[in-house]
Amino acid sequence: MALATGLAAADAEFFETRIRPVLAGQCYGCHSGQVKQPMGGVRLDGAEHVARVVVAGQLEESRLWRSLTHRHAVKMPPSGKLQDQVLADFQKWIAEGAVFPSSVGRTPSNWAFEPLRPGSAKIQLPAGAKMLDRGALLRRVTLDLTGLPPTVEELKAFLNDARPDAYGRVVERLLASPHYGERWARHWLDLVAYAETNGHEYDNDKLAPWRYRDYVIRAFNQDLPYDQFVREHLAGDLMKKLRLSADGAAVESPLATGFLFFGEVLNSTTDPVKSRADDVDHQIDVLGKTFTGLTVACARCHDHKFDPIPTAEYYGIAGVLHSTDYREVLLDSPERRREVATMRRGGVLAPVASQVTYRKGDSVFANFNEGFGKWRREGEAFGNGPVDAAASSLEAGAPEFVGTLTSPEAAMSDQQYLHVRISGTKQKIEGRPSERTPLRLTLVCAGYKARHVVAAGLEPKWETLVLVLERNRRCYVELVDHSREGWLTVDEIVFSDHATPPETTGGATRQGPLLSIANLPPSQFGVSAAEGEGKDVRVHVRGNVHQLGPVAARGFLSAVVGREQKPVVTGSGRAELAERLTGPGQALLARVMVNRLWKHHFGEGLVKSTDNFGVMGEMPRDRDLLDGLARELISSNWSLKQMHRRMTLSDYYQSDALKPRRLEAEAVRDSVLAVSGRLDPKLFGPSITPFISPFQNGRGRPASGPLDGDGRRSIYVQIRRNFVPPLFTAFDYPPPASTVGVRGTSAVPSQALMLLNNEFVHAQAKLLGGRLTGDLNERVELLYLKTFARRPEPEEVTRIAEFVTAQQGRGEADVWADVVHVMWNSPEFVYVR
Amino acid sequence: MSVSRRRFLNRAGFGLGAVALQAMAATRAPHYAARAKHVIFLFMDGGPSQMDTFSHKPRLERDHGKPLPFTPPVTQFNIGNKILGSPFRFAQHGQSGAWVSELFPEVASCVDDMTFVHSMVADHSEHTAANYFMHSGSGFQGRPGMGAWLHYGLGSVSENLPGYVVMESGLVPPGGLDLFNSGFLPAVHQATLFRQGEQPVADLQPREATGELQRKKLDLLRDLNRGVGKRFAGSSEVDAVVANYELAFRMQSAVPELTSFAGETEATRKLYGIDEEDTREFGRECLLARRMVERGVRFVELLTPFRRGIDRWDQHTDLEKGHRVNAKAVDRPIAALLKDLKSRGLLDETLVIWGGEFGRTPTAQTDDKGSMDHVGRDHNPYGFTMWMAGGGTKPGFSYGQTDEFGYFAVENKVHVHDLHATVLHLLGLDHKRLTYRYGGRDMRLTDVHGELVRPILA
Repeated sequence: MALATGLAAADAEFFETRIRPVLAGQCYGCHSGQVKQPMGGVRLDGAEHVARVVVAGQLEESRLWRSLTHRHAVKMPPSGKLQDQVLADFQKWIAEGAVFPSSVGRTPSNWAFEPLRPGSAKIQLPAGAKMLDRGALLRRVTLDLTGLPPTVEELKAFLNDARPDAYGRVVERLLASPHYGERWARHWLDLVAYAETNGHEYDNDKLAPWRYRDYVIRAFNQDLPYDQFVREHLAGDLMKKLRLSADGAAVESPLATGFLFFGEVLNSTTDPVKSRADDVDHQIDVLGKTFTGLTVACARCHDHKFDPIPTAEYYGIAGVLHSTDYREVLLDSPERRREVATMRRGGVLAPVASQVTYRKGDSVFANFNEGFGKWRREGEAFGNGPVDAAASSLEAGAPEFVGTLTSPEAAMSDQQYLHVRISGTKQKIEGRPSERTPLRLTLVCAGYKARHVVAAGLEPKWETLVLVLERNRRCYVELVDHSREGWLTVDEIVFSDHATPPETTGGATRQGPLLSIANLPPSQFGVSAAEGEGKDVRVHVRGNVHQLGPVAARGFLSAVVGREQKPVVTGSGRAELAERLTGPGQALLARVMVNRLWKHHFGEGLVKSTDNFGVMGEMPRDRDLLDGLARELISSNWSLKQMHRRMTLSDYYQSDALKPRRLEAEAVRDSVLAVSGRLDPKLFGPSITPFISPFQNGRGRPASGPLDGDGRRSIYVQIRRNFVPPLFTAFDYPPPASTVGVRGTSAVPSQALMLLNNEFVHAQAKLLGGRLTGDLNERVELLYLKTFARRPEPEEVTRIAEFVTAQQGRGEADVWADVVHVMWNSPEFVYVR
Repeated sequence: MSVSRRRFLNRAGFGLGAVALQAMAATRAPHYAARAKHVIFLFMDGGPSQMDTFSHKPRLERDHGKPLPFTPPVTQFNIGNKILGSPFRFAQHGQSGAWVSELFPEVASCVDDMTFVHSMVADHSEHTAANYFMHSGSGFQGRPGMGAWLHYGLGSVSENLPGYVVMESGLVPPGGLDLFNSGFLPAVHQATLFRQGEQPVADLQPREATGELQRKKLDLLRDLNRGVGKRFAGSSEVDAVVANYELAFRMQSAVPELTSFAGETEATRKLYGIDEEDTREFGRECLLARRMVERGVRFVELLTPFRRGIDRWDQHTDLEKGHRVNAKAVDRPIAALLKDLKSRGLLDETLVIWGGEFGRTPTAQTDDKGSMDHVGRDHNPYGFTMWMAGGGTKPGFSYGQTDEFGYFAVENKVHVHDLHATVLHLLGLDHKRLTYRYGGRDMRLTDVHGELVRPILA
């Protein structure tokens, strides 16, 4: 049955919400394919079956209706008449055509799966619209493209620029500004549900998530073609030629795959198989909505109710992600690695040969007697293999080398103790060792960096962990040396039933002279996807991980990339997925992305439901325009900046026809910093710990960061799942749970209270109040230009003068701080015309 | 208060029209006649043990130290199967003859107003997921909880106070403040956090040296906003922002009025145990809860107070000591709340719910050597007890049962989704019709589950 129109979509929705649940709950026990012999031969689980007892539009001709209303020999359901409301729903359903959407094997008939329509895109100016005044226009376009208000100098320059292309020059200046990337990266981070901690009970830190954030900022700033951006997200670590950083020292493209790992992490699941499936489900949810605007995750338990997404295809994508691992990797470019490798000296160091007497109940996990085996080496620190039966980050001969050594993952037994024999540089550690400790052994369980062991000193010593939640989980061990000054050596890793470590003889440190390599270039680590064992997974029947159905071939949605998908033979299938999505799937990819840009420029998407292009989403307001822009995006080699030009240079954008828009939480905070003069325009780097107020309690509460976040832009304030800054929350910062293409824009009293009483706002107002100079007129004019991008009206100057005069006797700086504070509370500050 | 409010309104030049009310989440009609208007959720963070509080299991005493006759499911710590008898004495109380342990002598005097559900079932064995689940019907983070859903469905009755309040005394449950967020619902439906102390609500206390100065600043704001209507072409959203300042101003004075106990009698203070060390925090929370209900707050959640050396109700070790300390902190205040609500005629319209995110095992959790010196119990979501009072529930009633060990619910199981469906029902909302479109789906508190538990309705 075709579902091409909005009307049909509404019918389908009515059916799915009001009729199907009743059929499933009340009737299918006897009248469906779930039973061997449907009662009376009547089935109600398919259009063709229903047609035997329902005549569309003809209530009285429909046996089902008479049966339900007890005016037929067979009165249904046998347990008693349905509630009046439910009967009314059936009446409406039958009277309006008894639409029964088929949920299996549906052909892609939704407009979003059709090819792009030909024709050119025209952005029309609505009748009666007038051009915005120049100050307001500059404020709009500056906040839109950079997330910051225009400076007074920029404003004056624009107001005084009589050249016909003055506005076009402004757009070019803003697109070239590094702040453009910060602004649009933040929009993007909403889509991938970016977060820097795992949330849940202890809200542990994720590993260097900010490298992904910086990757996105750089990608926007250099106008990386969007199709390449998408390819890198899916398979940036698998490209034949990895894309490198501008200076050629580090790999860039693998960082994009970090988006897969921002989900919440349970820190002590009792069902790791289900947890893993939940993680993959989150990845599918984000991936499906972000790139294709489809709610793929709806097909986890049953075929998608509305869109052509069979459960088998959901598990086809799941297979790709189950075959994908998460690794911390050295970011040095291949050239840099070669360069570093030549500096290796080898051989000289401090290994620890020892004799260990194992007992019954000891299980040796590793003793490095036979080389590294299947352990994976990253970087140079651990050299080419063990030295004297120990893994040492001094194998390469100098402490400056960094790297990791990672064991294969294995199912753990019920053993309660882990004994590790470890030596190395002693580190200063605040609190317990964490994933931020540079030299450590880490036990990673079910994806969670659970436990860490550090060396007590240069003499090898046994360290013991008591295992609780880690028992019976899938785990791996990682030796980490991120230190340029230190090293660590591990020669025994033993799981045991015994609380004490085994007897050991020998193993004194023989530390030779350490080499020092002064000109070793710096190395960095980041998180990347990595290829695991490529395998198809089985369908989880009704989403239950413990009830397995048929094998689902790895691949992507056939509605998007076509039915002819070659089977994935080697690897996870991410590379194939990237090619299919940006090749055969490019029409939808482009539509979804131009719609996102449109939404941020004009306030509302051409398709209002930016993250749902399926049947349950909205129809495009102007399909020709959407398709035309999508084709322009593709033909401009996927240049997003070109699309920004196209939109911001349109008459429509420059007119007063756009609705006022409230600034996002980050833009509110950044505007305060920009106007107060506190803004530090520094780009990139590790995040600033958020300020934690006494009202933010709970496990994993971090030490508070500075109240003003060191003046850094909000995108650099760390997003801790359990400690999102209240200012952000009040202004509709979305919880990082799923893709959010459209944020809420609520207007609630807590926002007023925040701007009125919050200490950050007061402190910033004070800062600016104390910096103002000149006479009253000069001050007021400056404040109006800074805050509202316009000159004050005479009555506004008078009114402020009245206030200031009445406050005489208090400190001048305080009084002006009050004026600033009042202006920040005006909707003119937090709204854009 | 009302004088300055009117003054501000008049000066601000607009009435408290639809715009302002909309911003405060105006009252909305329920789906059908409601039995209750308010909910007070006494959330016993950590998971109190059912067989040591309200679920009497003589078999445990008889078989103390023996192995369970069946293989227990995987628990958080996989503790083995040695049965642990309750260290607490049980007795029957009231007309209804409900069994209550010695931990709750005061609550025991209220049993004829309470409905026990002894057959609760949850989905998660681990605190954080279980906490999210008990609140939002999902084990994941970022979903709206019961309070947010009710606020979304019904709006707030109070003009000057938030409709959804959470009170903490220094202990936020695992899962953090996200337990009380609005998730995908609009931000207006998130909880407002009340703490102990001088400044109970964040960003509510003016920072100006005097109230006079703040009013002068608000006057200036109103005058400078004169041009806003013209510049923003009468946008209703921008009007709402302007109106919010009036509401914010009122909230600033409504909260101190709420939290001041000056108007409460000595007898009331005594009833709640406000002036006693053990019951100070929770007594204050309970009394505040009553005052909030009186003022129209829709949903109030109370969190258990912090006690040094005691990890909430989560007694993996030292069950006896920990449960005694915890019960002591809440028993009297809870009984006071029930009696006070009843005597003021508020219990009928207020649904009080007591319970944790799960219960505990009938088996002993010991140290590695099996010593019973510091014995505790592990987590058990398969069968546990919650109770309700007022708000249209059946008084003096017990529903459902676990097996004779108290491990699994075996009779009239009530799943957390069913509890949610029933709570919404009592407030006049059909859990299947209370939906919000998000991510392409009509989301519900009960997801695709939940059956109304009719037998416990009065």
